[in-house]
Amino acid sequence: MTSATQTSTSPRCDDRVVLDQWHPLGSIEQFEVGVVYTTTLLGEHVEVTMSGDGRPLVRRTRDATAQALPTRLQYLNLWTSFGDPPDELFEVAEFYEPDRRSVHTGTIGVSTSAPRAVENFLDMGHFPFVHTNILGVEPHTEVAEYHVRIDPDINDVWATDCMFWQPMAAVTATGGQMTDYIYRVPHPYCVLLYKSCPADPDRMDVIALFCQPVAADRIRACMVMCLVDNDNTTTVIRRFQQTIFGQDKPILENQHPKRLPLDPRAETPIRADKVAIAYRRWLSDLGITYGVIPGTG
Amino acid sequence: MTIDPFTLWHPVACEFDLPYRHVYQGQLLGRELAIWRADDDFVNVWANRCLHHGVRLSIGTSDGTELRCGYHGWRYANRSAGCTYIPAHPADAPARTICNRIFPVVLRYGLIWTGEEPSGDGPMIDCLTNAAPFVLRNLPVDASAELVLKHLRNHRFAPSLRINALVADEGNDAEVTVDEVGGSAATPGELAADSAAGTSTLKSREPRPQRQTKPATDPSRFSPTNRTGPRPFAIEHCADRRISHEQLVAQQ
Repeated sequence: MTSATQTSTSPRCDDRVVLDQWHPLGSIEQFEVGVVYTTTLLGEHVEVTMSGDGRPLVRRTRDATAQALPTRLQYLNLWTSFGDPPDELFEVAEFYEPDRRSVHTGTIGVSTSAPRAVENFLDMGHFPFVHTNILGVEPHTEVAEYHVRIDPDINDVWATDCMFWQPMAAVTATGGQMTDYIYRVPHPYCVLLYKSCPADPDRMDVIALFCQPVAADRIRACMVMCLVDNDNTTTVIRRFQQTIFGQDKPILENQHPKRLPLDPRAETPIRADKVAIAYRRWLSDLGITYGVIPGTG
Repeated sequence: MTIDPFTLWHPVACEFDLPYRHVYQGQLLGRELAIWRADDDFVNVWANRCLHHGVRLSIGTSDGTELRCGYHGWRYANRSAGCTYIPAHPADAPARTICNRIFPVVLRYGLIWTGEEPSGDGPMIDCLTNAAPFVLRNLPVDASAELVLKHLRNHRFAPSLRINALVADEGNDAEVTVDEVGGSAATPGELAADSAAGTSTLKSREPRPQRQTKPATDPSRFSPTNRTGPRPFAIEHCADRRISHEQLVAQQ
């Protein structure tokens, strides 16, 4: 075969752990009834159709007789799986609190791997440099000591007691504040952030990043917020989150290799990267090979 | 003769690619480079990755003495490429081992030269050493170096007296002499001989001073075959995996 006849589609995923996960395909409300949408998951083309009674049909495009794939509608997204997914998706209790606003803030394509995007989401140290004057500002650059643990029951990575000085932590913020963060990784390609809520000091806003792995080095980032905020319009909330993510995107796309190296010696971790170190080790322990460069050890 | 391209000097940027505090993205033998001129005029050629999380340093910023990564603000020193400051831990001095990969640099003929492990003091191209070459902008070509070289070998510079008129009109302080060269396509070695003999010359009365260059005392140290004139950089051996047109035809 000559190079001229090679196709450009990425190789299919053979990572059993990843195949058996639920993966998001974007906001439920973007799918109009009766329209056939196409998207790519793990290197394979899939078709999405929403029926009149609100039930989704997802199947591989390559075969008209292909069987319907499992689906679920949760956290404002449509999810599917190529393998044998768990009965339930990870639980985020805040989404069921009636006085909260759940807002899908957009699905954005990024030329990077899902683990790189998750790791960026877990990172506070970049706030003053990438989200200048919003989520951080010099000279408030210090990442204070925080705690990391793996929940033995649900096997989630948690980072707690995270604190960072933020000039404008949210749409509802009126000035600079020390913001408390809790990070949670419940899925190899999904990450949640609980942060102090400017509108109610006793509660926490939830911001989620669910990555649709289009290929090993390409994602669609599905972003959802679950807020205590009765003042701002959905448009204002979306604009805030898209501004933030618009600042992350060029950084992620200039990071290489695009797949996350799991060998601890591949890059230069510091104390502030404690949760990233734990996340990489957790991916290794799960046996993830898709979207990463597996360690040699 | 097989020449390892990793032991040669290669041009990776023009001097004018490095305006004040700009960080230029270069590439050589499959490796990306961050190229920047510090305020003390030293030109740095580094691997284009922050050691921390692999973000390109070419999207960072230069303050004239340090290069700052755009992701977490890590700072790297002019010349040594050692990390001097990690903002996430402002009270701690970075470990000495945090030092980016640096490459040797020679500024010569208006170009920035570097290499993976180049031997000698820099490229010596006789006909350029005694002239005052001016540099055209570099031109990316979507073809193998081998193919480009093949076509360049068959190309002859065909100037006309019109050039003399243009130079005079602009009041440039240059002198152009055009003589007929004639004949069919020459090899690069023959071209060099032609140039050196002055059949086609372009002179400036005040050559631009070259910075950071030392005249090599022994050109034969660089030139393994001790040929005179410009050497093609063993382009057929470069790590370019693109398939040439001829190879493609042969395979079909």
